Amino acid sequence: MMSPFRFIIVLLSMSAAGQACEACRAAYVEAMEKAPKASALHPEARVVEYKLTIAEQTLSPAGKPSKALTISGGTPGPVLRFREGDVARITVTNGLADDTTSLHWHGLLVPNIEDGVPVVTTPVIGPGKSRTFEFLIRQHGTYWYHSHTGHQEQRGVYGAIVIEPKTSAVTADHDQVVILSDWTDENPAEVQRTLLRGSEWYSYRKRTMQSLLGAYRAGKLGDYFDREKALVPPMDLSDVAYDAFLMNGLRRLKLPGKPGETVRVRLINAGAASYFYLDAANGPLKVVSADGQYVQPFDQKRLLMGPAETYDILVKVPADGTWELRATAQDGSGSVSAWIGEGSPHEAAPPPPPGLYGMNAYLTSILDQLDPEPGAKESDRPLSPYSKMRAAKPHPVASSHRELTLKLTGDMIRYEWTFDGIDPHEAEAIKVKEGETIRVRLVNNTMMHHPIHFHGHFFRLVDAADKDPATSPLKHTVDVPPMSVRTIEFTADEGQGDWLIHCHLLYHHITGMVRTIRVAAADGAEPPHAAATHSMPTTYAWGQASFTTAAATGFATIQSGRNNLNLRWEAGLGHADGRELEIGYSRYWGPRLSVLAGYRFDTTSGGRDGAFAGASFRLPYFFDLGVTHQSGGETRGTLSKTVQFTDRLSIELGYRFGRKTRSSGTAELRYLVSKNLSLAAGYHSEFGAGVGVLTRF
Amino acid sequence: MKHTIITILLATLASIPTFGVENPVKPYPLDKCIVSDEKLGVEGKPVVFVHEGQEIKLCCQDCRKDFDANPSKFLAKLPKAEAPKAEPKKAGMDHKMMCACCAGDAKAADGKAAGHDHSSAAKQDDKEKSKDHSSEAKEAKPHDHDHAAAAKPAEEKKADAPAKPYPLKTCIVSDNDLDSMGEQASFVYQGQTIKVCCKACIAKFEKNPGKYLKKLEGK
Repeated sequence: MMSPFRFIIVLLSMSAAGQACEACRAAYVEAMEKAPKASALHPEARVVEYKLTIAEQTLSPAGKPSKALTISGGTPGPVLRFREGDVARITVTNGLADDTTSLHWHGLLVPNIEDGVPVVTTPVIGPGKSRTFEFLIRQHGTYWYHSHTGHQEQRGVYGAIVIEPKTSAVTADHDQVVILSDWTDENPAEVQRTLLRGSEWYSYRKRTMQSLLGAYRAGKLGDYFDREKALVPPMDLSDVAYDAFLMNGLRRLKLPGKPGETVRVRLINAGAASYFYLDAANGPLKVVSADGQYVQPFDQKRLLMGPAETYDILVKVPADGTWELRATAQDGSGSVSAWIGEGSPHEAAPPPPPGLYGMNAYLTSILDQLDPEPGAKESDRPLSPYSKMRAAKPHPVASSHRELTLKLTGDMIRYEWTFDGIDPHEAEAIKVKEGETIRVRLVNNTMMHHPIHFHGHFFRLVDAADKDPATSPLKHTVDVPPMSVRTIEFTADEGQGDWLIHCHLLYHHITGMVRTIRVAAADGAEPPHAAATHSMPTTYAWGQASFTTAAATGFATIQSGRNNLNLRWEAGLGHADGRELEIGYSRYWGPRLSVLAGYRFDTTSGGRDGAFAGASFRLPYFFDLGVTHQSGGETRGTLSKTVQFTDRLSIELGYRFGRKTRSSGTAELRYLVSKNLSLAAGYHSEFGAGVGVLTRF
Repeated sequence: MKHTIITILLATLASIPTFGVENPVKPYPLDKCIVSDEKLGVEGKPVVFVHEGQEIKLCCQDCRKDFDANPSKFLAKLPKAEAPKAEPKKAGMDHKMMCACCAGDAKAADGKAAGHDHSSAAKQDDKEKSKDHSSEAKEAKPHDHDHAAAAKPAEEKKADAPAKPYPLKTCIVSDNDLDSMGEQASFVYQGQTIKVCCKACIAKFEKNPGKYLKKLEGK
């Protein structure tokens, strides 16, 4: 057994080592910053320079004045245009008053220090500061850039990158950039808080709320209860209710194009949390490039585009008429369109709405599309068209590889998304040797799509048969549909350093679906500092209080990662005046278990003050069971469940039983009025019946 | 009022599984235990449950164990019209309610079950039996065998051979974790225990079992 003295010495030495390690990091970054930049290494290359300033402005993307972040005065920022072989020199200035910023060059092959992930690869850009990025342009195609700091991407910090090839393989009269995005008038940090607290408000706003009545009307009560039994939360294709969907920052876009012209449309999905279906009024979309890489051209009737993906399509402008290119949010909650040509309008057909309650049908459709039967026709709600995609030219394929599995895991109720169920702050970096080829199986164990992006590299998509690996498509972002597997393969040949792999749904990334892949030297040597965790805001607080004529009840919590500090109270206001107050800590151990401890002040019938410890369990059908043991011998259990009757009407049922205290029951009907207010009418067996309101704060 | 709330809670608990059952339950037609033939009620309150859409009543819990060990044997005692039909499974149906041989699938999944054995067919040289139990080449559906035939004495003898345990930790169809959709489903196909993560995967497996069984080769 270690003596206390020795334990303190070990602690101090660990702390000193940690500080030394941070000093190592600073020295490493300084050395990287001082190393010769691209313009010095490639003096013959043309230097193309941009100066970008990130600042806060009031704009009205959805029609209502709202705080946005702009790049050089607009959102999206300016299109950065280069030619293959150029040196890009981009000076980014932080014009924000009190926030750091960053820019990441999504899909570009850049030195690790230029990748733009704050702390992990690149120094942060503080308020009023600038940093100049410099890198050789080694590729061509359609890419984009965006902030990698907090929710800045959602607030407008994104733009397009277009790189012309030395020789083009695509013939078009001209090309147009179309950046898709989603916009909320809410502060995105508040959006994150709303998602973390498990609010149903966005589902209600989008008309995607699942209820008993809805399931009954859809004839899917069986599916509804199957889902509840299996503890699968209501299916939702998107988390956030947006105020607008945009193309190039506009709700309606006019593209130039004369009859007979062929226009190359460079599509970029910069949506923070939105998948889009693309439909054209004038026939199937001719896809010629994906994620900046040429593919063998193919026609796609309806194109599903995941966040952070890019596609180039060719549009032939018809002889007369104005033709719609429509992007519909995958959950059907809205759309945005570009119009091309002159004359009477021709609308594109929208995709059919998603079946909210048909979970089995939905999963069957995914399975059938990933593994189609011979002669199967294209689905009305297709997955990404990867099965049709082949690289235009063969690329090298490694003869051997090491295989890893990365599980995409999540808890929709707590709104926690991770890889392998591990908080990124507690996860070690995945170590890879330079030159090593890694095959990663991305196993999606959740009911949501996840667009997974790997920084600084292209990977090849490996299909089940892998018959022609040399023409498997090269991508930087891949959609992994619910309950399915995608396999990617990359060679760690883009330089040593720490590279992120993460879900590009911003709100998932922030809660923890992110991991660092550390590329060490071929002999395994790596920098002395530990790989940094991509620091994102993870501490949020919220609560709710119900005031009725009989009782005041409520809770408040501060959540940071897997830890919560909790306050819970209930007090009689009518004929009974018992009060109970709990202050406690809980630790999340997974979707079905949390452990908790705290102190309880209890003046209700038979109650007494004392410390308690216990656990809460999530049971089938979403019953929550809490069991605590209190000093003085009291053991208490609580069973609760919320039943959603209609979109607005729900009932919260609770039953409490104890060894020494009297059992009690509660039932509270709630009618949703707004995001922060419900009407409430309930009964508490201790405090009696009452009516009032419930507020969320 | 307190009792009312408790009653509501309990009623909610009790009623929910009923909603999940898609097919109506056939009433139990006998007045005696299907295992012991004892008159129901003699041993106390009968044990009542639903098996494959058929209500079953037993005189005691001991008989439940016997029933679970070989349901087909006892189901044969039901009048013909009441016996469960050997129809191909409907997609989306709870697998545990489809097939008498799979009723005790929790045990079967561990390779310890004594239910009648599909693997016997695969092991048989007898072409007739291979036909019934769907050779992989034909890729017949996992449940297009004949339950009435399964209750024949000759078949009962083969029931002693255990099913091969499932060697993977992932769904044979989707490759996802078996518990990723809550409760996993398990059944025996040609003497091989199969596990899937959800109902959608059962339907997918049924369409082309041979394709997915290849994942077990060499395991």
